[in-house]
Amino acid sequence: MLCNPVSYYPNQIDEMIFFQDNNLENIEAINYYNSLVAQGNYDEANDYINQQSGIYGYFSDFFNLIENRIYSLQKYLLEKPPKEQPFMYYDEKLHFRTENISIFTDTDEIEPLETIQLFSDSDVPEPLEPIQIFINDNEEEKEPVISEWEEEKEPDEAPENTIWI
Amino acid sequence: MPAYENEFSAFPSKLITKHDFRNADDNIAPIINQINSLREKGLYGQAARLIQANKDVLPHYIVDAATFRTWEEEIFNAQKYAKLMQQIVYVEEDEPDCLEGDIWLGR
Repeated sequence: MLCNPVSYYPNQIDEMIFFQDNNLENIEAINYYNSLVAQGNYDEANDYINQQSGIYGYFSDFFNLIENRIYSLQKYLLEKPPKEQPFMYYDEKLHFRTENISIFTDTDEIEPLETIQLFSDSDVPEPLEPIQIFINDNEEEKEPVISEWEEEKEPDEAPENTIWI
Repeated sequence: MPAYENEFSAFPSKLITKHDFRNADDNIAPIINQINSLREKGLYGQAARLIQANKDVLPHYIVDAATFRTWEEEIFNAQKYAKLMQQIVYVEEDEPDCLEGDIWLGR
């Protein structure tokens, strides 16, 4: 067999085949195969080449291998449930001061807020002070829900995979 | 929505259509040789008619530019789809190649 065209993904990562030019070690096999083709003995040529290993060329096994791997990967992706985007949506108009935000690294040290920059479409840094979050401009303005941050309590409506600040 | 390439590929609406390639054998070789012979003589019309008459079997034996373009599009679309499956938060100094919905935290 020239190569195994079956794809085992995602049960395992398919092995690389390292497609390469044929070399002097297998030139005899290639020459014999080509001579059979030149004589019109296609079936015999196929039988012969399928018994070889370490031979590379434009044979059906290699092409089927490529398509099978693409198929397995696409099938796996389509069957995988989409992850939720880690956004937090609030149903009310919200104002809060940036002083209430703390950013922690994985060392649990508070990072300075000065390192945060917001950019507009024109790539110009925006000042942080006027940050406001509006969910629905038609709603009447309500008191900001700051308590959740002050109490350091996770929001009730936070679904899985949500980043809670 | 990301810009998928849909000239040869329909992913993610549809999985790649596999050709089930086969090496040329004694049955198909005379037809392929005849097609090539007609083309060499400039008889493209006859060659086209012969291809049309065998359109159900020939795709198993022919790999051409359209085949490679198809594979390229299928892989391209799969890569785009995979990146969209979860939001990516970049913490990088320079703006990365974000897709819609990604987050970039500049330094």
